[in-house]
Amino acid sequence: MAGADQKMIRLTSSEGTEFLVERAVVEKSVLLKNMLEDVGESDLGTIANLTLLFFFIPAIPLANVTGPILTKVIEYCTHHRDDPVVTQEDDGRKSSADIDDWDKEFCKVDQGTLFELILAANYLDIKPLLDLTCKTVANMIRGKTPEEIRKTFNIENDFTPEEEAQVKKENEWCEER
Amino acid sequence: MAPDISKVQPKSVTENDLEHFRQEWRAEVELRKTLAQQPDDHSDQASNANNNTLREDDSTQTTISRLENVEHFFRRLSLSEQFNRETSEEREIPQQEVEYDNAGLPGLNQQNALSEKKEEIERDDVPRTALEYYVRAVADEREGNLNEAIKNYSKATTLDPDVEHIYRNHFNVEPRDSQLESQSLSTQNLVQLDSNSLLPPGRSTDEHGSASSTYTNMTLLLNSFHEDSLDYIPLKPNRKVHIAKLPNELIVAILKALIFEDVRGVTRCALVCKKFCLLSYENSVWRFLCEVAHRGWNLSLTASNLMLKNEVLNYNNNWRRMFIERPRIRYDGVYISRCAYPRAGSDENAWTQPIHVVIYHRFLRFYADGSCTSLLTTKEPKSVVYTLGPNFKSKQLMAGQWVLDVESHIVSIELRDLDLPNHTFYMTLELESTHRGKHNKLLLHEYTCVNNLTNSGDNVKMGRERPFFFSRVATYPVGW
Repeated sequence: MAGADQKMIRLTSSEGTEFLVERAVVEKSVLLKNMLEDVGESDLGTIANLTLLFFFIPAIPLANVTGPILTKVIEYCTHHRDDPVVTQEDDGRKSSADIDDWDKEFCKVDQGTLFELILAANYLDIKPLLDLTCKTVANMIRGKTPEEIRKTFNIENDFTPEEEAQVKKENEWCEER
Repeated sequence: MAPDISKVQPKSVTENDLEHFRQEWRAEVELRKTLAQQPDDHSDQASNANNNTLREDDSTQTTISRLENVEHFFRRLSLSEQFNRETSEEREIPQQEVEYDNAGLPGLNQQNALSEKKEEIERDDVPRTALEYYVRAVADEREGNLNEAIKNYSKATTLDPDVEHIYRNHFNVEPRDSQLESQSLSTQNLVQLDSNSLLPPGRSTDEHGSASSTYTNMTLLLNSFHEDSLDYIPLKPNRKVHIAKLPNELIVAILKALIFEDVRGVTRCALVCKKFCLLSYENSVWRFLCEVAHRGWNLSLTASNLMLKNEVLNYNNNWRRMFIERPRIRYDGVYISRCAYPRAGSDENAWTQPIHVVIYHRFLRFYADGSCTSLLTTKEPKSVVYTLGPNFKSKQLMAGQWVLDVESHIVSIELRDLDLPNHTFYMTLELESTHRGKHNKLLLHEYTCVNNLTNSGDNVKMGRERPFFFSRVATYPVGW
């Protein structure tokens, strides 16, 4: 496996656009990392007929990710390529206030893109990106009234007045002064 | 079970006074008239009967014929006055004020045909006693005529503030009598009284139900949501609902990210739409929160999670309920006890004796890592809370450790004052909830000071200590 880290990996988006990405960047995705490792650690003799001799690997098709989203994901992974892997102990439990400036800027996208990013991060299993995007959405909800949340996400209130009253009553404990 | 009349405003005091005055005046006028005429035995009797009827509106003996006599009498009484228009039906004469008539009565011969005809019409469908108004109001409410119902409730309460009580006794305690009586009292327009049908709609038992029944009701509601189709309906039809792209587990992931910062945000999400509501009750979201918020700070994460996992069985495996009900010290604010005592002052002047009221506050702030600080000061809270942090230094400031015993709700605190290195202070407090919120009151049970050199303990005098009440401080981090 020596020298494998410098290898370039080809990824194909759902439209068929090809992306040439460094392996270290691609490995931010646990899904792709495992895929590559499985292949790499396997006996080359048995996989030769499948796909993988590293110089001539066919592109990995990512049918669930569109080109623009994949571009964003690669941008994120490139920026964070040297970040340490988060441990289980403190994952996702840091304050959402501590999003750094680059990440904040990165998440300044329209809602459609943001939710696509969440889907891609989930699919590719990129935990820090998933946390970041979820926190960004959480910050869009934070401190808002139900009416404001509805406006933010363009959702209509589908409760009957009785249901709404009951839910409201049951959630009152949290509305203390 | 009687309808809620608390929203109905009784007539203002001035209006009552005015009405009272009118009654008295009318009585006097009538009295003079009567003195000029012969008293009439028959109407005397009737008026006495009326007296009784009005005073005890649940008396069952009154017959319709008697009532009619009484009615005639009153109608005449009011019609003979020049302001009979204002004082007609809705200003029914209050019970106490009919007593004047034992002095004498107006003759029946003064009636005029017109007024009789008029009252004949009115008599049938206009209620006369507070109870009748009340019954009418209940009927209106059941039919959905809320405006009428409110009017009638207010009339009923104006006539007799205790009418609700009377109504309850009347129809719930003695349903059979009430049915009989109501038939004799009411003419055709009042609903056929039936003790069961009188229970207003929309009053479920959850009003007096226990917390667990509220949970059950909520579970039923959530289950009903499961059966509905839970697609988002766009608020503005020409725009997309982007969040609809996300599967449930990713919305749950967002709620998990939200809940540490803003628990209230999650409870507010519940009110957005049915789908959000369902997801906001998702056990895993609250489990996530519980594992941090109820973390035993002296346990490892694994041990703490294991402890919580065993404990959640006490809450029907409902992590949300566990978060709400399990006693927990709050970190996003400070517990304040405000104490005051008078102190006699002295003055050179023998004529005056000044008294000083000394007010001081005891602040207790807890941290998630098991430490806490206590501050005793005469300063006002708003000048203290913003600076009261882990690095705050002041006189009368003590720092220490706290432990909460979940079973007994007892918080034990060990404190040390930097200025008194030889002493350790121990506080025992009980964590309680108030109507304002959960876990926001601390009762000081015991406060002792131990001299570390001699190892002798001493109770700190606490005659004037008041309970600590929690105040949220916006600048404090939630801390988990």
